[in-house]
Amino acid sequence: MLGKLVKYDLKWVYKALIVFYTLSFIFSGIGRALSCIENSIVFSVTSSISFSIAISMMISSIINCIMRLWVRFYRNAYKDEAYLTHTLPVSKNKIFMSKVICAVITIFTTFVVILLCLFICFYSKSNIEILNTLLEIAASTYEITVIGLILLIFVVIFLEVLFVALIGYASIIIGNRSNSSKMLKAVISGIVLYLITQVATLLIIFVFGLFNKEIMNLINTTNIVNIDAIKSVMFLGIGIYMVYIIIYYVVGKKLFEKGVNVD
Amino acid sequence: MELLECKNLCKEFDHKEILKNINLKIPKGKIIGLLGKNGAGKTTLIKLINDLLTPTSGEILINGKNPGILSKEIISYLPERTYLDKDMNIKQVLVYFEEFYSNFNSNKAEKLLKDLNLDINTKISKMSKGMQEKLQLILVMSREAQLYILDEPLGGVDPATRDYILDTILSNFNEGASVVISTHLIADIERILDEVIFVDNGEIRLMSSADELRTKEKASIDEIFRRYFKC
Repeated sequence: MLGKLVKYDLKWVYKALIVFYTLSFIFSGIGRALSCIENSIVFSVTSSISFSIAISMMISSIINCIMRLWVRFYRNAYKDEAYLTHTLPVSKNKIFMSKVICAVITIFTTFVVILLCLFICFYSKSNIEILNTLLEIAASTYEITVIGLILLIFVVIFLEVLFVALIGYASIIIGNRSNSSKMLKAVISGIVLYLITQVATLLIIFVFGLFNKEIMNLINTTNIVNIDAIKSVMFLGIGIYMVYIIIYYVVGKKLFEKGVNVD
Repeated sequence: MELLECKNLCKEFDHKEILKNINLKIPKGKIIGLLGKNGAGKTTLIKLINDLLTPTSGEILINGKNPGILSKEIISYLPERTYLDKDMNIKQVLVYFEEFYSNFNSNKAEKLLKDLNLDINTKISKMSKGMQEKLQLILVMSREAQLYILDEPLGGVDPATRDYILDTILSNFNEGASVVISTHLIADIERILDEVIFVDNGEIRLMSSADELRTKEKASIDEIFRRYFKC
């Protein structure tokens, strides 16, 4: 049953996303093709415009992905469609899990599409060499490989976006637990949860700083930042986001399982 | 064991009691009219049974168990809203029901759709609200359920459509199953009712066999209802 739920959720979210993915690929391709034509101002300008459109489509893909995930959850669990969702012979746990799995898959594919489009737009031997040189410096200071560094950045951004999606789910559930101004309460809950989480992150970093001089220097001095401290904070960040994601998943699931009040 | 039982069921919204201490038993194989004025609490009761609302206190037992996966397998529910995904077409909706409900009879649904001259490739968003309601009724009645709960199936429809709806209900519900029909349009359905439940102000005022009530009061259910709930 979980597989079927995920299938229908993915279908709904991808229905719009596929348009943004396609436009991102098309404009990346056009921009790249036109940029290969030399000595033409018209093609050069058109290529730049295509690249701009491609980049705006990539940004739209990620924004749309998050928005559609939230809209799907809200409609499916609390609006008219909820009359079908909650009367399917499926547990509330599976309904919620399906939304989370859908979020993981769609955010992941959106990042892959963005990476591919960036590759189409800007791949050239010289660009790769510049990037390699830049990343090699960074990678050697982080004591990891270039691929490892790219993966690290990818994981951090992916976790951050997934965390935002889960905060959205949790706030929709909290907002809909009351009997009036549900949407307003959901938005306020979202903002409050986000702020609380950010303050908690600072506190956690501060606590770690008590045991790590380099991290504490980041907080209470204006000295040039030590690369070791940034590295520690980056890995700490991944750990913290993973914990938050688990917490929001468990809290959201527990609240959702307690029951709904569909209008 | 009763098919459905409510024990001391209460529901509050913002400290206002919508349902007060409901005690109710629904046996197998009966057609029951859940009758009451608008805002009497009929829909709230039905939504509680279908796990769309959480009770403030009390208990609901369906075949002896609280609402959950098993109860949803055996209850086929028609809400007063149109709940289908507007992006789907009828064919996709049929596949959806087939995938989720093991007791969904797609052949029956296709036959009923054919009778209505509905093309299965029609998109839900292109259908009128009335047509969507008929489609939902067909979907609900095409399940081989043990309990059919129909919330205001006759609300806001013309007399000809009312006849169609009643005929569809009567000729398609699973043998041995019970049907709960919530309505305030009593005259239209009283001929098919075995039992009646009068709901008012969140309380059950009367539960009786339809025939016994008619004999006792020497009047139709519609007349008795009007007497009971005279403003």
